[in-house]
Amino acid sequence: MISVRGISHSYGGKVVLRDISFEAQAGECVAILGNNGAGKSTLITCIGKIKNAKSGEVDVDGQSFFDRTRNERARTMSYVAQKSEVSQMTVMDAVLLGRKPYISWALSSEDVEKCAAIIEHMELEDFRTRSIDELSGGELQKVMLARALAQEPRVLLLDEPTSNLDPKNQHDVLSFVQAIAKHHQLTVLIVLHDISHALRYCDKFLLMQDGAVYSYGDDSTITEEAIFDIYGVASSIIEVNNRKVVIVD
Amino acid sequence: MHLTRNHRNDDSRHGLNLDRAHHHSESEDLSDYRKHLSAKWIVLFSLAVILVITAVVSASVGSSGISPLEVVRVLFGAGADASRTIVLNVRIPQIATGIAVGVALAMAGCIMQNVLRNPLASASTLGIAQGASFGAAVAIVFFQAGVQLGAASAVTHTITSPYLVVIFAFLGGIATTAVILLLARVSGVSPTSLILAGVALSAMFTAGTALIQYFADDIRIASIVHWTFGNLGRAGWNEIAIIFAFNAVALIYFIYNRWNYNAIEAGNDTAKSLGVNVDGTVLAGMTISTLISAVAIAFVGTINFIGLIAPHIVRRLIGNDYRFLIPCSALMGAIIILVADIASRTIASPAILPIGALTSFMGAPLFLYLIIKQGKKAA
Repeated sequence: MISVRGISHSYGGKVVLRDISFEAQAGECVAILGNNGAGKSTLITCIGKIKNAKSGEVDVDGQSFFDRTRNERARTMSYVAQKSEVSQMTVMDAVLLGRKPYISWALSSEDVEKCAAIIEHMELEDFRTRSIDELSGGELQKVMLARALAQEPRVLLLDEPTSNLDPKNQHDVLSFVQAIAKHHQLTVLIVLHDISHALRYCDKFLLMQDGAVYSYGDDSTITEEAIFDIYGVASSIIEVNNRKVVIVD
Repeated sequence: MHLTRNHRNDDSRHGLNLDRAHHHSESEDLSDYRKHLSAKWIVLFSLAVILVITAVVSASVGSSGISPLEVVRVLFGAGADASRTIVLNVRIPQIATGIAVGVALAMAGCIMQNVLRNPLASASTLGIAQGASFGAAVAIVFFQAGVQLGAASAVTHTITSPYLVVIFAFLGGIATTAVILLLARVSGVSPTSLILAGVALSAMFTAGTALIQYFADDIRIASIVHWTFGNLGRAGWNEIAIIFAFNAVALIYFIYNRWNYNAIEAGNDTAKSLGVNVDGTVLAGMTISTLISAVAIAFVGTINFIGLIAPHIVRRLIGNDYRFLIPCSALMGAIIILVADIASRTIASPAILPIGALTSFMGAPLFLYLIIKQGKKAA
């Protein structure tokens, strides 16, 4: 369980996050939605202490997250950036990086086995000796996700994980995240642009506007009025195959 | 969260099938991984063997015509007296200098390229080498850290206060590093612009070194000019020991931080999420890289491009795994410098060409290639 309380942040006097508070349970996927510049990416980097928030607190499982050591934090939360830096590194080595918070001097056989299991889970076995700079966008995103899972976190922070993917890979990645959250009781905070995707794969919805929380809750939070307020577009929410879909008018 | 094969998800509706039978057993995974690692170990050992062979060849190349076999005999305590004198008193110190300097420059280049996230970074391309040269020249000309041994020849010019030269070289190098770090971290300039900044700093320090010559006597001018070409024959055992000592400490530090460098390869934000103190790692990495480069440059002069080339060649073989990249780059740096030294003594024999000029000849085309590659990547 994660509890975010009063997170605020600013860059050079410009306030980008105002007093953000919300809670999410283990096993829940929380979609963070909002227009460009609403502060979504800044919020998850502040929650993960990748950036230092000006004020606010984050608790994971009842204990302060910010007060933990770097390695303890890395074992608690993992993060997948919107745009991954690729270098000449094999898929196996990239996933093994996720074990870094657990390594005292050298990798243990347990580290190797856990990474191999994740690689197999994510159907990346055929790529394991390939260099990640030769992979397609979808394959690379899976590798980054595998690395984040190798950290065995309680909370997974994903910044627009599907922004460069085709529909098949978008579905693969999001359904995998949804399944892994449920099965391993992970809390997932995921920045998304596609509201229909959020409705399909997520349980809770944090709508952000100008660095503040517009609303937070289950799918009843997503209304045509909220979409108009946040994105400035008229829309219709319809049901297709028992799923809510947002159509921009 | 605990991921093992027993914790399978049964949600087979999804695109990623989490419930399929696994093909690999855990022991197979380990043996796969060991195979994966053994390829890197083979590269490391091969480079070590190549270095030894290159060193033996280097010891046998020269005007006195000692065969490689004779060199091996000398090394095992046999061989003719004349051969012993030449190999032990002339060739071995020169080879030891080459190895020490190659290791220092290559390790520094390897770490600088990582922490600055810039494949074009090295002591010479960022102007750090030129800054260190300027500092050392100041020490020699204005603080009498070097004195000539009678003859008006630069070769006989020796450094009498190595510590002073090292300190000034480090100051010159670290001043450049401070500017580079400010540009990279605070202004956030692009990798290519950072190299342009290096060109500007390099020009400034080279001009500064030229200006110093106006204040120097003929012998010191000769020494400085000679120095700009680099010369492995200048350092004595004292200097060699100093370079090796700094290298040893740096190597231990870099190896200790190898996982941090691996994590930084995934980007600074990802590295932070993996528990890396990124700012501290960058600052310490740059400072120590500057220090070992400055120490090497203080004693042998400017030898360009080793720090740029060596890590790139090794990357082609083993990728960006700093567990192996750091020691392999060090060995590759030593090999390249010894090959350049052999070439400098054979191409126009009996004349000895300046080694710094040769490494620049070898390195500049690769530098251009990397710039083109960088441009394509950006596009």
